[in-house]
Amino acid sequence: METERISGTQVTYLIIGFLLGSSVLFAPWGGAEQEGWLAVLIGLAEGVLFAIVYTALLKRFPRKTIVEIAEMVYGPFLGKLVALAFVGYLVHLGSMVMGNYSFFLKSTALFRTPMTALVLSMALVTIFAVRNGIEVLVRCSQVLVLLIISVFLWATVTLIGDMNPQNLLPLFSVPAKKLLSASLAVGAFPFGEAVAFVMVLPFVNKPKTVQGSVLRALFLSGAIMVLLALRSSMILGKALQVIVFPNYHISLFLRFGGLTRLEILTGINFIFTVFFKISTLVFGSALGTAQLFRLQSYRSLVLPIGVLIGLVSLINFPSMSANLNFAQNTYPVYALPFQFGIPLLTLILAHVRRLPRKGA
Amino acid sequence: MKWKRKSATAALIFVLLISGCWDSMELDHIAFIVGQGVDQGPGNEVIATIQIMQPSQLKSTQSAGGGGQGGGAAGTPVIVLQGRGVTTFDAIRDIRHQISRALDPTHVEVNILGESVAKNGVFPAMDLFSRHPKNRPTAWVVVAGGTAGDVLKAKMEMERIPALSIASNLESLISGAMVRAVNLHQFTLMLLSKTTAPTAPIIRLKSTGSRQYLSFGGTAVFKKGKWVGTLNDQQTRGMLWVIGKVPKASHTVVRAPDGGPISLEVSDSAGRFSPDLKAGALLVHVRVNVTAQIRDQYTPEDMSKPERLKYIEKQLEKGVRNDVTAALRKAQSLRADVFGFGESFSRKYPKRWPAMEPKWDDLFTRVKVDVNVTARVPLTGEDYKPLFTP
Repeated sequence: METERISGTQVTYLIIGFLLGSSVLFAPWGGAEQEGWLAVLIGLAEGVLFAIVYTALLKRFPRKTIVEIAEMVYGPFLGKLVALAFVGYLVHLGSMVMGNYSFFLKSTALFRTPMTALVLSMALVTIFAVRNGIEVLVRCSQVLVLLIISVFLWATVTLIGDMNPQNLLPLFSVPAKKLLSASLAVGAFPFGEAVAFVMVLPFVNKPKTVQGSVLRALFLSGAIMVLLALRSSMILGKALQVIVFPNYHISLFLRFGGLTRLEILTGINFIFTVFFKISTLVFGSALGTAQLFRLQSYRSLVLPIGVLIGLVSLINFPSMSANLNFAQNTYPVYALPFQFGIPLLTLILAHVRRLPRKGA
Repeated sequence: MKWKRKSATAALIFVLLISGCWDSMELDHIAFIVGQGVDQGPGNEVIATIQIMQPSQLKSTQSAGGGGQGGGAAGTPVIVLQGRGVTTFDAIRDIRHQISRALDPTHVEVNILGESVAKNGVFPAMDLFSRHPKNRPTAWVVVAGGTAGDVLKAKMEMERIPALSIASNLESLISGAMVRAVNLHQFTLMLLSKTTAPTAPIIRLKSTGSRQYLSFGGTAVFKKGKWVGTLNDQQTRGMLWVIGKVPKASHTVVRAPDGGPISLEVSDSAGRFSPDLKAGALLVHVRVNVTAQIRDQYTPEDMSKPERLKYIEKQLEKGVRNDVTAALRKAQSLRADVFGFGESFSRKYPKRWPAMEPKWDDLFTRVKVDVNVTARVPLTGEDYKPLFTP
């Protein structure tokens, strides 16, 4: 239905921007104490496993999104139900990211600005971007992701003086249960969330290269997150457990000559990545809904879905700590069916039913 | 007609943008706090004292000073205000009612904990500094001998902004090895540690005749957030040798064979320690490497001879060892692990640590320290031989 085409490299950039999303700010690996970097690596392995499954599914059904695949595999009724659940997950995820974004700005910089204004401004930008199509979004990511990564690397180098490698010791002493739960948290948030790209990847011009693009993005953003985890552990030590936005707090130490208070650079970085994340999710859910109801184009749905995501974020967040608690404890279980269960089940069923049939 | 619709939409968006930002705050509506202090008043009342910049004063006195008037006749470019409340935030908000501008802690240089707060527990007072996103983790933390209010109200001689004066005094004293300067982040880390005793430098308001001045001296030692004891200058230096924080340009005095003092300036030093449980007892190996230069001597002996320099080096080694022993004795008598030995044991022996942690205070008093000092005095300054030889 859509004729847009993007390249594998472009989608890699967008996935990196997407994955760095909220994790640039939070440390979902915090539960693993000084071994956050290890939790990131284990979570990355989990994310790679998920990615192999859903890219295998896309390889089997070239140029089809999960909504179309589900209808082919499960039949018209059950397939629609599965697709609806998946689209619902994308909308919910979008609202969570939006909530993180507005809570962050409200608690660190814009105390007096109403939440609605923060959400509205982000929603308008994403709606505008997505209405212009996925091609525009990926081109935007090609420019901004490089900027994000350079700012991050610059900050890391500048902060070397504040790092204390002793904080990483002792190695391999965190109880396995803690490490595992932190790893699962990192696996689900952010690595597993790349499953949202099953709505974007069908637009890649060479369907065979999709798996490589996704894995490349996972490894690159995984490397950045290992660096982030090492950095926050080395600088903050035990305080990592107390601070809500560790990676933002770190940037309070930034100093460039006589300039201090450069933490807004991290804030801007975060806003860029959140923009990619929400845009991708808005695109995914709009396209998914359009395909569910066999609309001509997803574009008419972008505005309502963007607004929906904004509204859900406003009513669904009682507090930051409730949100963090959800992300650490409930989310890994809640997200598992969408990130792994549905793609795996669909793949197995497709294999059993020998789909897609030739000429169908 | 299409362009009309487009331009109408654009105009509407601009209407949204030009209404401005809710949080916009122009510079001339902000009062920048440069120093803040917390004291405890009668009946758990919190007294907050802040020092805020008065930029207009700063400018006018600068131009006056250029005219050769001197003496700082135009007064200090800061205002000191005090407020009361039940929490620190409450007390600072009480100050907000007294002035026309919004208080902004983004450029605080120094946080001062009054003696009363330090003795009764610093956790409640520290909470605001750590929690409020506008406070910065790199601002210094000092403890006032007396009230923080008096320290912040003190008139300064060298600097026109007292809080900056405290900060620069602290920074210059770090190089004198008399204080262990800690910033908010480091202090928080020590407070969070289960075994390490937090320390903070002590500042006191002193006066000789009509001259009032602020002076640093000693280190306050905290346990469970309460000020329990004080290290003197020698003990502070001993602690700094152990943790490897004795900076360049600190000085120390040794005795020549005839008893005449010789002062040495440290040009390089490194200290580290490693815990050891092998012998069955708690042992900490402390290794200090120090390089110093002769700065002056009150003895006619020619110290440039290699064997005499050897002698000075031996004396310096002995001095370092004495400092370390003094610091250790004091810390053990306070049952306060100011060095962070506990943390190092937990890192090296993670398996045995859980059993040690609950009784660490007792174990710390039994820690034996094996001090290994290597001193070198390779340079004698610009003079080769003493100026005066009888």
